[in-house]
Amino acid sequence: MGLHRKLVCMTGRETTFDGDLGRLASLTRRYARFSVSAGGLGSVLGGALVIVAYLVGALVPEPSTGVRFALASAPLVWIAVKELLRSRYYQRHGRVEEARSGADERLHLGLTLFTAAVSVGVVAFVVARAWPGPFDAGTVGYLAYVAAMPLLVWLFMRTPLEFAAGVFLVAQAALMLAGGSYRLGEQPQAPVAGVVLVVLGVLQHREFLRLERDLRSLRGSAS
Amino acid sequence: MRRKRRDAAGEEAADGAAREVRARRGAGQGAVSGAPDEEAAQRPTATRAILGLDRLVHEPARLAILTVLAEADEVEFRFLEGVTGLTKGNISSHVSKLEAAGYVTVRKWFKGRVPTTSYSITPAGRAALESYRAALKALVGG
Repeated sequence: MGLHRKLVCMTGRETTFDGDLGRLASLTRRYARFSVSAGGLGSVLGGALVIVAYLVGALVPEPSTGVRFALASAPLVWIAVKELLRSRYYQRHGRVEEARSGADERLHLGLTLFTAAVSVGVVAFVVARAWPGPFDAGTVGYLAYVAAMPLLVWLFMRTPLEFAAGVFLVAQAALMLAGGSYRLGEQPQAPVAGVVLVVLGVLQHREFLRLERDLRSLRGSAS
Repeated sequence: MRRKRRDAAGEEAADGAAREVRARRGAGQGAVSGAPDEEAAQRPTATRAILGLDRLVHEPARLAILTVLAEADEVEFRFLEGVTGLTKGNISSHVSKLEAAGYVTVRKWFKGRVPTTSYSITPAGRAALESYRAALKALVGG
């Protein structure tokens, strides 16, 4: 990088940090986005799964057991793949945690608390209705997903778009285990969030490839 | 004539920067080792402003480290090493100085079984970097 070169550009009467320092700052900021707000291929997968889950639920009246289990496992597959991509691919040069604004943090907390309130209500309603049991496996799976939803939102759905898509995916998975599904016209925000997530994910991945080139050229100029 | 006016404006700005750095030093924020006040008073204003820059931040490697840390909540050692081109020893030594000044915090943790080190800039470190930028900008008459 040439730290002994000019680190601060002085252009005429104005001092700018557009030189090597500006480049360092910009690269760090761009790379840090892939710790939280940019999912890249993880977002593409999440969006695609949301669209598939929505279409199957809406258009297939009686999905087979295999299809039900596949869709029931979709949120777990998505979360596992996106977190692996994040740590092993997008942040493979070392973890850099994105600096998030207070508003972003408050929104995330608010969405988590909202989800927790809804989850408690749904679990209480279902348990009260089926009491004293016995609870079949489908109902237990449904309750497990609904109860786990606030934790999943807190840990893995940190942007509003991920929240919209992820909560639908988890809810559809819970319904699939219980033998139901969302019908056509229900949850119309889900396919929209899915499409937006796919498009954004592709754009973010292309941005990451540019970032990789910039990081390589930075390392090249350092050696 | 215009040049003269610009010089005067530059000196005034540099004087302001020096005053700001001195004020910070007085408040115990800067870790600058400067000359005694009487000696400093005899120097030209611009020179005093240059000498008044926070030397802890002014050093190129530390400036690069602080610049990277200011852009994220937490930065792993490996990324800092790759992006700055500094050696492991250099980073450790500079970060130790920044940590001693309260500009940086260090967190050691395990990623699986691998020991890992991450750094964060503190509010004092962020303020020092901002002040340094402002002082330098004022110094060149921006």
